[in-house]
Amino acid sequence: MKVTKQVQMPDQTKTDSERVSELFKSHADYLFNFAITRVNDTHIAEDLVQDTFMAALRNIKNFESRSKESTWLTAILKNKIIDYYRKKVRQYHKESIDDLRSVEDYFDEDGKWNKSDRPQKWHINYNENIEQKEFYDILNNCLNRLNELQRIAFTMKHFDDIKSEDICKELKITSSNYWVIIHRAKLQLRKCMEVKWVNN
Amino acid sequence: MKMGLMLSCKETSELIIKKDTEELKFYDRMRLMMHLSMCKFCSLFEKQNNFINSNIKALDDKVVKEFEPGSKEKILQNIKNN
Repeated sequence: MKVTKQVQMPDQTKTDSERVSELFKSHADYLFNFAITRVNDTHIAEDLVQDTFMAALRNIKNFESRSKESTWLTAILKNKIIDYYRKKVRQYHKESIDDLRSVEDYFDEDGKWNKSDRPQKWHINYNENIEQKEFYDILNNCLNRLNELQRIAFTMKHFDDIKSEDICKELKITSSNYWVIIHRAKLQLRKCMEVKWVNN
Repeated sequence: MKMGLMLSCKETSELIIKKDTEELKFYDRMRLMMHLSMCKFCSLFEKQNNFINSNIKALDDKVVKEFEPGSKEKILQNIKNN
C-alpha cells in the first residue's frame, strides 16, 4: 500500500505578514509582561508591543533565524521602552529635576533618621528568596508609587542592569540628579514595603 | 560629598545605595563599616535594601498582567493589514 507522507514546506511560502503574525501569537504575552513591568500602564504597554511587531514586520527580512526570535523581539521592545523613558524625562522641566527634594524628608538637620522613618526590625530571613505572589503584588504596588523619574531610574538599574553612567546618558540627566533620584526611590520603596508587607 | 570622619545616618544611607552598584573607596568603606557597627537603624536599612534588591528581578516573572480584552486581536489585524 502506498503511503503518502506529507512533506513540510519551508517558510518561504509564508508572507512576511504571516510570519510576524505567528511570532505575535508566540511572543506577545511575554513581551507585554516585559513592557508592563517597566512602564506601568496597560495602554502604553500595548502600544509598545504593537510598535515592536510593526518594526519586526519592516525588518523581518534582516532577521536571521539562527538567532532566537524572543531575543530579537525583546531587543526591539527594549529600544522602544528607552525611547518612551526619554520622552517622559523630557517632560520634566530641567528646573524640577534640579529642584527635586533630596532625601531630607527622612532625616533631621543632623542627618539622623526621623523618628517616624527609622527602619524597624523585619522578622524575616533576609537571605530568603520570596515565593509568595502576595509579596510581589505589594512590591509592584510600592514600585508604582514612585514618581515617574524614580520609577524609570530604578527600573533601568534593577530590571535591566544598565550602568549608572549609561542611564544618565540615555535620560540626559546629571550624575548627581541620578543619585538623588535613586536614593529617594530606595528610601521610599523600603518604607512602603515595611508599611504594607511587613506590618500586615 | 563633604563628609567628616563620622558619617551621619543620611550620609550612610547614601553610601549604602552607592555600594549597590559601585565599588566604594577604601575610606568610605571604612567609615561605612564603622557607622554600621554603631547604628542599628542603618544596619537594618542596609539589610532591607539588599533584600529588596535581590528580590526585585523576580517581579518580571511573578507579576503576570494581560492585554485588555480585544487588544490582541486588534494588533494582529494591524499586522495582517500591512
